[in-house]
This record gives sequence, structure tokens and C-alpha cells, in this order.
Amino acid sequence: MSILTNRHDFLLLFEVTNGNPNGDPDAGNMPRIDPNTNRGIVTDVCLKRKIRNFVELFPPARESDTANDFKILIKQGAVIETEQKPAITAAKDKDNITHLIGSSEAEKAKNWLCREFFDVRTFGGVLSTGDDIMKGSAFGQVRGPVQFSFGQSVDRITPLEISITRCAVTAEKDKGKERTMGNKHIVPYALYVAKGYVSPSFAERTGFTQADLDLFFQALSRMFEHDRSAARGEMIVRGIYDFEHVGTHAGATDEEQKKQNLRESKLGCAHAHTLFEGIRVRLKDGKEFPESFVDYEVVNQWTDATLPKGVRLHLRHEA
Amino acid sequence: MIKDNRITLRVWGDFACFTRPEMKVERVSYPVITPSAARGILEAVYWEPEMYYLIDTIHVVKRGVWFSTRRNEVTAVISDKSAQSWMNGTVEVKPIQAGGGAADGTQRNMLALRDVEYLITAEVKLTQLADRASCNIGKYLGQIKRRASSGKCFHRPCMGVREFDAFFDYEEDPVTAFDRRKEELAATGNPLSSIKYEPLGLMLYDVFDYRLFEKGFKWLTPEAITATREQFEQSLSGLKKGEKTKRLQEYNADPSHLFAGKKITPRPSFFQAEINNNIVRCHPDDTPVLIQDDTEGK
Repeated sequence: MSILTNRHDFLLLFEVTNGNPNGDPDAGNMPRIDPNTNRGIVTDVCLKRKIRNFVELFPPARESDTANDFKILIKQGAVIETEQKPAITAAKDKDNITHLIGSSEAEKAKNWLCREFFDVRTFGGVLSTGDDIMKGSAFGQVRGPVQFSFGQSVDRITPLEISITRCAVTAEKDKGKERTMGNKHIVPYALYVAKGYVSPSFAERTGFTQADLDLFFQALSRMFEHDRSAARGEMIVRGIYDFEHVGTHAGATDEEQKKQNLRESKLGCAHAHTLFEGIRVRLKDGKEFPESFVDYEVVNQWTDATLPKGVRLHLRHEA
Repeated sequence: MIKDNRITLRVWGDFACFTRPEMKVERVSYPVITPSAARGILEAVYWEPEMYYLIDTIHVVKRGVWFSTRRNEVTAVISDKSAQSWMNGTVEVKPIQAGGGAADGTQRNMLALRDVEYLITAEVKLTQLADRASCNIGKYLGQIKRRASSGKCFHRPCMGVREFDAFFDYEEDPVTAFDRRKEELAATGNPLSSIKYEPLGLMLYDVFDYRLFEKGFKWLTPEAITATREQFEQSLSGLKKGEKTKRLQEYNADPSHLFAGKKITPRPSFFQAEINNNIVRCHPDDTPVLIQDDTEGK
């Protein structure tokens, strides 16, 4: 499969109903909130965790021993401890690693990590290196092509603290009580927007392919479906607006134009902020507090005619 | 009109964290963008080995408000030695266990900024690798302008850390742009924070010695590496076999045949930063840059 060549800027819209999308350990696991604006926040690491868990649950079949694999290197600790998962086996067959290119063993190892692990190839990672040539060089840090921002709620949120009775007590000393009181936090309703970017310059270095990107968007649209929990309430993806920079000479047959298009699609054809500003999310008239998604109006001003030349918009949530 | 080889980019973002080196475990940001973070943004948009940027001034349009967040982070790094033994199949792969309470994870706080905007003005200079007639400064200035004004970038620039994305646009002149933004912000009811004078203390200038930027650096292409190696092997043809092997080993051990210019190792430098009428001046010609002595480790 081919290495990703086009730049992507995407917006992710997701909602929570009666749940806690991302707890804040600083505030007793209350939903994250920015005290300056009262808008809710979901961190980048929270979203990346869900992508990793999805790919771990549904890894695509590896095409060949030297093709990209879909293992996950950074796992959620708790899951590993409770479930006995089959251990990851390394490429024992020597033939499979001789295909790796690299000017040194450290570079080969870096390329091997990227080939075997979907998350290293996608999000990057930090390598510690004793090699003097590599120290302080670009090989010490794998920068992944996919980048997430913090998700922010469109409007202010009102987190509630809910008291619950637990009929399963936690501490041995409370055995006689049969049930204890507990509490959890919920956001009655909120719509969040997160921004994301895919830089093909880094895809070249980690071997991130078009197939990897398709899997990434599949994970993005389905990640909450496999992450259900009483604490998280109901979380639904409401939109993935993916702007693909295809280049102004897309489909050209002329060699010179093809080359130019390759450069253009990698660097992009428009400002990311202009593209994002074309998707407006606002509360419908007469509404002060959102109660469900129907209270919102998502206006997509982009049509094939108005989109900047060389940019295509994919509505990944409709796929 | 580009004056004195200086270009200006307006950059803004929802969040920013320009980590102070003395507090980088639980990250604490400087109150404004550092020159090296500004250089990183410009280099994300456009960079060639034949040129480099010296940040001249930073106009603070929106200084932002403090914002704190605590997240699960991964403390483990993958050592290249273990990656090599995983690759060779001698040791079983040990995944990193992340999440609060897990062996390789921990919760860390970050004191960052929210809603920032700056005008970054930089002087564009040529490196010693610009030895061809085609490498004139006008060409690079034109390229930067074309890239920045059409939204093209090599990779998405960021405000100190990668999860804090930065938007950018080209500006002809920082003074006009600043006045325009002042008016625009006043109209939104969220006026520009006016800072007459504020000393920021010792601030990180860059993690590299800026004086070495003029040497330039680029990795050579595999073809160029093979070509120079062949040339070197030919120069050894008259030597005895033992001597030849020794010289070849020396050649292979020395990484300098892999790149052109100078590979510089990180060495932090600082400067006394202050905001005067919303401007931080940081050009080394105007503000002395304190560089750690380089006799260390030699």
C-alpha cells in the first residue's frame, strides 16, 4: 500500500449525554472544564487512547510479513493486568527484518517499530538512544503524522455530581453494611469539537499509508461504540469533516504537473483555519442551554464550488 | 515590500505551552512565546538547509490566560537497544503500560496558556551551504511569503507542544498588522491586552547555539553518500590490505560522511526578556544572548 501523500485537516464533533467524557484528576474526577470560560475539555491523550483501543480490538490482517502490522505498543495498563492476552511475538524470521533499510542498527530498529506498531507509526513516540550519531538527531524522536488538539465544548457545560448507592461494597470492613454511597459526575449534555491534522511529511518517515489513514478514520467514527461505560454515559460522534488537500492538478497526466501536484498536496492548498471556519456550529435561535443534538445547527458552508481549489471535503461520519 | 530581509507571520492558537527548562517534569509555560518556539513555527512552514531564521521581534497581541490541566502521561521511553532485541527476536516485546497507576504511566500537571496570538518577525539569513548562485536571499523570502500566505506548511506548526496546534498567516508589516488587530479586537469587545513594560526575567533563547546556524546542516541523499564512499575507496587503492581496512573502519565510524554542514548538539542559551509596549525584542544584535560555556565535556 502506498505512503500517504495528501495533507488532511479534520474536525471531529462528538457529544456526551449524562456522562463524563474525560475526568479531571485535579478535581476529584469531575469532567474537565476550563474555569475561565466554563467550556468543557477533552484531552488529546483521551482521544488517542480510544483510537489505540479500537485498533487493538479490531486489527486488520497483515498483508505480508514485511508489510505494516497493527500491533499497539502503548497499552492501557489496567486492561493488560486483568486479561491474559497472547504475548506479542517479534519477527523471529530473520528474512523479515533484512528488508528494513537504515544506515545504522538504531535507524533499522526505529523503522521496525514503525512497521510493527500502528500507534508508533501514527502518533510517534520517544526513543532513548545510546548511539552517538543518533543522539540529538531526528531519529531520537519519532514524530507521527497524526496530531490532535484538545477537544472543547461549543458552549458552557454544567457538570453535576450524582450520588449513587452501591450494592457492592469496596472495603472489607464495610462488609456488614451491604451497600455504601458513592458519587459520580455527569455532564447532562454537551457537544465537543476537536481539531486534527495529518502531515504527510512525517508519514514518509514512519511509513504511514493511505490504508492506515482509512483505518484511523474508521476508528475515529466508531471508537465510542466500543468504549461504553456507565461513567461515560452516551457518547456519539456527530461529525468528522475531513479536508483533504488533493492538489490543484489532481489527476494530471503531464509528468511536470504530476510532480507539482505531489508537492502541493503534501504542503496543502489552503489555510486550515479558513477551512475550519467554514463549518459553523451554533445553538439554534431561542435556545440557551443545549439538551440534545437537535438544539444545534451545524452549517457547512462548503460546496464543491466554494471549496478552495485543490481541497476536497469528506464527511467521514456518513460513511 | 520586504525590508531588511525581515518577514512577519501572525500566529495564533487556543492553547500554548512554552515549557520553562527548569520546570519541565510538571510543565510550566513562560508567559510568552520563546524565540526557539517561534523559530519552530517558521520552520514548520518553510525551511531549507541554505537559510535560517533569527527571531527579531515578537508582538504580543493576545497574551492569554493561565490554564492548568493534569493528564495521564507515559514515563517510559523505548530504548533503541530493546527495540533492536525485539526486532531480532531475542527478547519478547514488552509493551508500554500507560494510564494512571500503571507501571509506565503517571499523572502530570501542566500550567499552560489559553487563547494566544503573536506577530513573529524574523530575519532570514543564508547559511554557508548556500554556495550556488541560485541560492539568493530573495528566492527564499519569496518562497516564505507564498507558503505562509496560501496556508501551505511542511507540517502543522504548534505552540510549544504538538497537541497545541497553531494557525498562521503572512503579514507584510508587523506594525500595521498590530494596529489592525488592535482595532479588530476592540470591536469584538475583547480588547488587546496592553502591556507597557513587564520584565520576564531570564528566558530561554534557544536550545541550540544560534551562532552555529550559519554553518547549515543537511543529511545527504543515499546516492551522494555512496558516491563519496566510492571516491574514498578509490583513494585507498594503493594501500596495503590491513591499512585499507583500518582506514575504511575509521571512515564508517565517522558520521560526518552522512551529512553536509555542521551537526550541532543542543546547548541552551538565555536572554533577559522584557515586554515593552507589547513587543519582545530578541534579535541577538539588540539583546545579548547568554550561552553556556562550550568547554564542558571536551
